[in-house]
Amino acid sequence: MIKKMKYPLAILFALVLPLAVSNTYYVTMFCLTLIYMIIAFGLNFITGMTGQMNLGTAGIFCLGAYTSALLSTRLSLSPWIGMAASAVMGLLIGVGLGYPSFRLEGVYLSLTTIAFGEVVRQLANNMTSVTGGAQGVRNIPPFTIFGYEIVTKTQNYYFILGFVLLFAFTAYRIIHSKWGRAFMAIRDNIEAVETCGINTAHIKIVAFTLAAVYGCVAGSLYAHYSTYINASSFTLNLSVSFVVMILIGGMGNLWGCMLGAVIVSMLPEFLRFTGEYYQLTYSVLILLCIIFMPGGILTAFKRKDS
Amino acid sequence: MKKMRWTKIMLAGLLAVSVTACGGPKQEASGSGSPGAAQGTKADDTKAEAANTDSQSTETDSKEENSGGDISIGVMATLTGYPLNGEHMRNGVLLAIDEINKNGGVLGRKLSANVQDCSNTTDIGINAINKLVSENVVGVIGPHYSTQGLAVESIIKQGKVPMLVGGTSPKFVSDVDNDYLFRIRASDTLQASAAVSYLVDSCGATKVAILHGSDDFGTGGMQVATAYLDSAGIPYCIQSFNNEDTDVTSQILKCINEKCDGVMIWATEAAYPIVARQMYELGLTAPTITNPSLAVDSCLAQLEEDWVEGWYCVTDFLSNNPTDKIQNFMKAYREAYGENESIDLHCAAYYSAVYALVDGIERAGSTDGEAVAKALRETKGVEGLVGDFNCNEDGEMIHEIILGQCKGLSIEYIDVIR
Repeated sequence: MIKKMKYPLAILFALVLPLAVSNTYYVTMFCLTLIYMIIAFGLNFITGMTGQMNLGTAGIFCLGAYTSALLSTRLSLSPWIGMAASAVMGLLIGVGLGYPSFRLEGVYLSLTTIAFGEVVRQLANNMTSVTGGAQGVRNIPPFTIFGYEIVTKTQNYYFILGFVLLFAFTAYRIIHSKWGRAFMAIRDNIEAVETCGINTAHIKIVAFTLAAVYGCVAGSLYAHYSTYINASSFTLNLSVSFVVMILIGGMGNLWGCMLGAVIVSMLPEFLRFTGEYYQLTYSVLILLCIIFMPGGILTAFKRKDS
Repeated sequence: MKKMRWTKIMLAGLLAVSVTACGGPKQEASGSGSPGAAQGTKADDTKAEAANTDSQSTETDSKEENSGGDISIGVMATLTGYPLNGEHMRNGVLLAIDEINKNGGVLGRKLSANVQDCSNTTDIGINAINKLVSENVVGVIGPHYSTQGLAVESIIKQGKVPMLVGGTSPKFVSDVDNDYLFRIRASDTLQASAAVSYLVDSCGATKVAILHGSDDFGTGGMQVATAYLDSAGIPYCIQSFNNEDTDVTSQILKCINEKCDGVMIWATEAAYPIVARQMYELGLTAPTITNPSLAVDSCLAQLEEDWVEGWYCVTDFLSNNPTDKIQNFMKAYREAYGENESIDLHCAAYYSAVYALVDGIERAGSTDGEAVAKALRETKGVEGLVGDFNCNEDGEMIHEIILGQCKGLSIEYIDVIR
């Protein structure tokens, strides 16, 4: 019964959450968690399902955020156009990052993606005339729907939730399509896939492109939600956090991505009562989870049940 | 196998409890009792209130607190992350609160500090400020860095909570239209122009090398210095680096090749060990002046004497400043936190900020954010350790800076520049 009702129940829970907990502090956290969920869905295609380590997600997120923010502040274009441009940027990044993955794997691919993230951050920080440099981009306009501005935290929550549902549905359909099976086949045995005459390079590019489009759209949502961005937010630490999200929740699993995003973005905040030890406590908890539940929290219990 | 399952269940349970503990206890350090107890044995003095699963009631409690109980002051400090200066900042705040409480408090009520870590990271900083605003603090002290201040200034404006920041970027206060934003340290407009003018006028530099961090702080200092040099007709060579860079040889070699005979460094503490060591190794020994980072104990502790001997710096605070107010503060601080505790500008600047905020609350006669902000705008002649507080129309409260020189890994007082 619960299994059948899990989707409506989850949606219902998400809808009533800001009504039950209306404190701005928490709603702000929920908004950020929702944005991170979209990124985790995207990263799940490439790292969770295809098995290609991507440590440059912060760079993708950064490019999406800056594309949308700069178009709407410098050229006064609608945030919607900014978001569309961010999605196109995602396509370009996906192809650009996908090609190196033909020949690279393992630690070399990780290093390439780390370099990508750092290059993007440094460009954002140093191209002062375009990006505003270290002072970042301020006064980014909010999204509007039929002239109605999405301003308050609660409005933003529901707006971003709409995107999460859309992207979760799309991700679900992709995971359960031939593409999803191809992604997992590459992760499990790439030689076998190639022996079957399947073009693995093409599939890897598709996975990278999906991850990049998801990341860039999330970046656009982040920019217009927070109204201020600067390069110091998009560090390697953030990229690692995204990997931890899908690792701790359960790779290849949408519920795992959501759970991971909730844990990684909210757990440190709820551990603040431990004073300056909260980051240490958080890190130890994450480490213990990875040691005792290497396939992620959801996967660990699923295996036992089945 | 059974053991593993229990471990997994316990871990998952622990995570679930942590994440669902909405309205988790706030870290509130009361100023009552000795600050030594508050800091030295923080656990004893930190009031960890019971978890409140209803955020609405958390808000109500806080409102009640600021309408009858303690007056809560928010502190945004870097207690984790790097550069780690939040502990000094918190020590200074708690010492001031303790002194004020011993003298009867404010408006007949005790003060307490709600200290939140911002980890020197934008997203964590945003969460910290949202938490403070939602817990109805009267004012916020910190953050220390301009970039973080820029990220959170719209939140305090919306929440109508005055914020006394330590970020010194020139554009931070003057270009931001926010009546709730105040700066409790001299801006880089004063600091950087004082530094570069000393290099030119007193050290006789005819071509200045400007080595600066690529962040908001470093870039801001560089812009002030170049504006001064342009107006004085002095040539210069600008080289930037990232504060976390481990190699700046190319930038230093460029300055040597350009035959610069004066160096100005404007960067956070994190950059100094690398920059100072490589300047020494590559032989860039021209007179050098820096931003206040050099005067911070945690920065000096990472340097060798030979690297920085004779360097000048501008700073907000020097512990060997012979004036009574500084020496009295030093004595009180050491009594509270121990003889071996280092004391730097973070302790002094934020200690003084509490007095400036309290002065505003007293003149406003209420804890209403709007009234306190209005009173802070009219601040005049409040004595502080980093200068006297006089607020101008941009929210700048400090208008003087100290010049010092590094001798034997200690900064010696030279003069005050206004």
